[in-house]
Amino acid sequence: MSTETAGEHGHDEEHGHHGPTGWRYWLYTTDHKVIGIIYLWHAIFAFALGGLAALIFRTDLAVAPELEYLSLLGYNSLVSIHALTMIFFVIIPLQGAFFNYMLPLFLGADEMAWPRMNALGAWGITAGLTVLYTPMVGNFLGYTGVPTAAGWFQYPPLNTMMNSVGQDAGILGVAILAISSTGSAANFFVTILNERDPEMGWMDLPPFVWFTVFTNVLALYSIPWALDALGMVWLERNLAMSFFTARAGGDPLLYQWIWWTFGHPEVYVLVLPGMGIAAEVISRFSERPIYGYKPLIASTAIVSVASMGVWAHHMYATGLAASRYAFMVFSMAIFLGFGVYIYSMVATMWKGRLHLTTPMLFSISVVVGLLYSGMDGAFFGQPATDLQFHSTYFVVGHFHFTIVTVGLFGLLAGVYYWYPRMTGRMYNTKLAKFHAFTTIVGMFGLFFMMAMLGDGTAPGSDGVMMMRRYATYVYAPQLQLGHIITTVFAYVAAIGQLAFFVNLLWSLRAGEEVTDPWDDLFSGQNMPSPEWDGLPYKPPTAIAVSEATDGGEEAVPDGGAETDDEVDVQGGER
Amino acid sequence: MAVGDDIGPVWDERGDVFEALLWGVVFLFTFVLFIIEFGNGVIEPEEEGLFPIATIVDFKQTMFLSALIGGGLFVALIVWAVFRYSSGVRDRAARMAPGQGRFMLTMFVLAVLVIMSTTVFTGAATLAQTDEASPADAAEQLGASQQIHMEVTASQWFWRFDVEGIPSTQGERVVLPANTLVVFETTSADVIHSFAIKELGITKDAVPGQTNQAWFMVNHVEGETSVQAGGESLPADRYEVHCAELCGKGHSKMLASVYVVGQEDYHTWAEAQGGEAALESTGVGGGEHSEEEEGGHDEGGDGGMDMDEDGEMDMGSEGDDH
Repeated sequence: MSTETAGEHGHDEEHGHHGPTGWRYWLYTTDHKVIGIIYLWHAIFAFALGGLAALIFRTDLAVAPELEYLSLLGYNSLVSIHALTMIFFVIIPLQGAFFNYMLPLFLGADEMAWPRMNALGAWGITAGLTVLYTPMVGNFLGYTGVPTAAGWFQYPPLNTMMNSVGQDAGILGVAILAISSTGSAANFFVTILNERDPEMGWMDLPPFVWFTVFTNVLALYSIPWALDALGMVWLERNLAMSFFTARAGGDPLLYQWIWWTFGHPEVYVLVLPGMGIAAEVISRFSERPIYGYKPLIASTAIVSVASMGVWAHHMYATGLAASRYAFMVFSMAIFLGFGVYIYSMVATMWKGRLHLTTPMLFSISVVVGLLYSGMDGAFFGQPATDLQFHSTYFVVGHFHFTIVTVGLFGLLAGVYYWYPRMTGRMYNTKLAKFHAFTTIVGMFGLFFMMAMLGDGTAPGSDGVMMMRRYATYVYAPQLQLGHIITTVFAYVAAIGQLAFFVNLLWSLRAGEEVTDPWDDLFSGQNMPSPEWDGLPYKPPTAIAVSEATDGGEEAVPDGGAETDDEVDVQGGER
Repeated sequence: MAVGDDIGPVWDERGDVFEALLWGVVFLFTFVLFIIEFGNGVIEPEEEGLFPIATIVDFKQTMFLSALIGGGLFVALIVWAVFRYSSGVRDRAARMAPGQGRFMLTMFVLAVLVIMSTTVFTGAATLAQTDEASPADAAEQLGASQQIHMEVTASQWFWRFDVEGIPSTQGERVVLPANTLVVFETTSADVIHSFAIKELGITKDAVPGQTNQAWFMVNHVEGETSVQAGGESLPADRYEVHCAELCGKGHSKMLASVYVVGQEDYHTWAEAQGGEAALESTGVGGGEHSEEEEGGHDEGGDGGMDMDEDGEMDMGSEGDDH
């Protein structure tokens, strides 16, 4: 880490500042770039923790229908910790890393709108993660009970009835992160509104910035609901208030209404940045401007608005009556938005020239993953089929496709695309491709097997569905074969992640020093991107690109040389 | 990759073609998974005589099919693009003309809208016939002449079934009659549970301080297993009951079995329990107590053995008229 410290520091000194050094440099910083890197390493660290938790219980599921290593409560606890870590401490910080580091570069701003709130947001992650994991350490040492064990959406009264300090810690850990990310979301949004280069109009914004806008508007809308829900549970647990206890006049379902009002927009908060990065990468690495820029932005707006009106499709089984028809219609409307995104990405790639670099591979997987998660998701938008699949592994497969193959893969594309920009060093591309290979095969296989276990079509399952959050499957021991295959895929993915961590850390010291590793690839395309090429920035439209390359496939072969010359002129402008 | 290679030979020294093929195969892998995942849903056998699942299955298969065709097409396009348009096998990108493909995009949006609204309407109709249907509607639509009531109470971590007419509360296993609309109410004594019989397409949360009503009906008994009643062995089918909402430590072991026996056998079983088979008439079709009625016999044809006999008698009398 010292490498980029020196780089950033040196930059500061040029301007005559004498900032603190050593650990103080990291702790006191309000520099958006340094904060972005703090976010990045937090996310990577939490990713390792959450992945390890998943590997432990996945292994136990494969070994035998009964638990072998974990207790029943320990299993529930690991599942909850895995979910909370991945959702709140991996995806959100990882996207925060790019928002922090890249937004000012994209917008031509010198800093975020509120640098101090930005720093608060970064250290909020540390605080939240510490609070969430302290009971786990305590449990290992024998001081406390198990960590939070009521699942990631922790419905009361289960949550309020669990007598463990871990339960409170789970609530507080997420609440701390929620507070810090509310501030950060406001910061990101205001930065885009206020700090934009005056020359840069709304329709000049690169797709990533647009997706950032929608993400943070949704975050600002949804996260307060989570704080409401968690706060009420905390008050009920600790101050004996009664919001959710039926026999004391509360309503257990009230929590679900509040939580899912947060919960569904939250899913879009998780996936939209990844989709934005994928759009950015697919366009540049296909050598074509984004197809249908305006319809794409409009459809993302539709998705964002629709996501606020679909929360009750998580509650079809709770005894809801006719309102389910309305929520079904809203849920289906989301297809339109994501459909246009998928269409736009395929049309961008179509007849392009795809550079199958690591960021591009992950970005293509985002589009495939979005198809999977959308097609699986249709069965949960429809109440009739939802009641069959509710709480089976089909749901587990569905949301993993959504959060991992869309959200996380997009962010991994971002890591590989921008790592050289953030650290000044290039990673090992062979190791990166190994990571891409194992991750795409491993993760898609893993979630595919989850879906198969869920709808009763896994090998040997004999039509029996695997139920979600079941620590054991004593009711159907024949599901073991399916679980073994699932776990094998999980290990394939895990080996890839190991390569990922090694690559990132090793390249930090030993990677080749570069300024723009993609320069060769993109030279002569007139498809600049402000974070690499600086401002002034004109979005690559069909007209601009055709002026630059003049021809493309239709051009006669002899004209090629001329094209190249023209290209160099364009490239020189940067 | 060097600058200006765009117009170079297709084969380049770094084995890009091989790489394009490798990644094409990787994405082909996702395509095959897609086909299997959604293809399996299409060929799933029909659940005849089990309600509400039999009503849902048609709709579900249609959805799987449209996912297979619509989604599969797009994954196939992506796989093709990776094979065909990779920089290893292609020297330059095609120009994107301004406004190109606007018609295609419009058609695509229209197609999505049509599929969306079809799904919405079919889904609404399916919902109206299944979970949204009141027991009276369900009885009419399924031609169920008889119904029985059951109360399901969930607590950590076991089920309690109180079936009308049976004096004892039943736990891990509950016996119910076939050809009868089982109307049940779920509630919980502590945390939120969910009463699920996935084979019948039922999931209903058991929420403390609230009762939720739903129904199911099994129209035939294969006799895979048996239920003992007073020394007699009654052929029965077993359906697994799951808890479908995380309810704490024992969640995965909160199981129970629903045994469905024939209506005649149910009478035997109920008497052996010291109770009576409290089957009520739903007022639909012909029941045991409505033999005098004329019109209802054919509609209630799937109501049980008695009904079949009635049907034959009717046909006989019609023959006399001729």
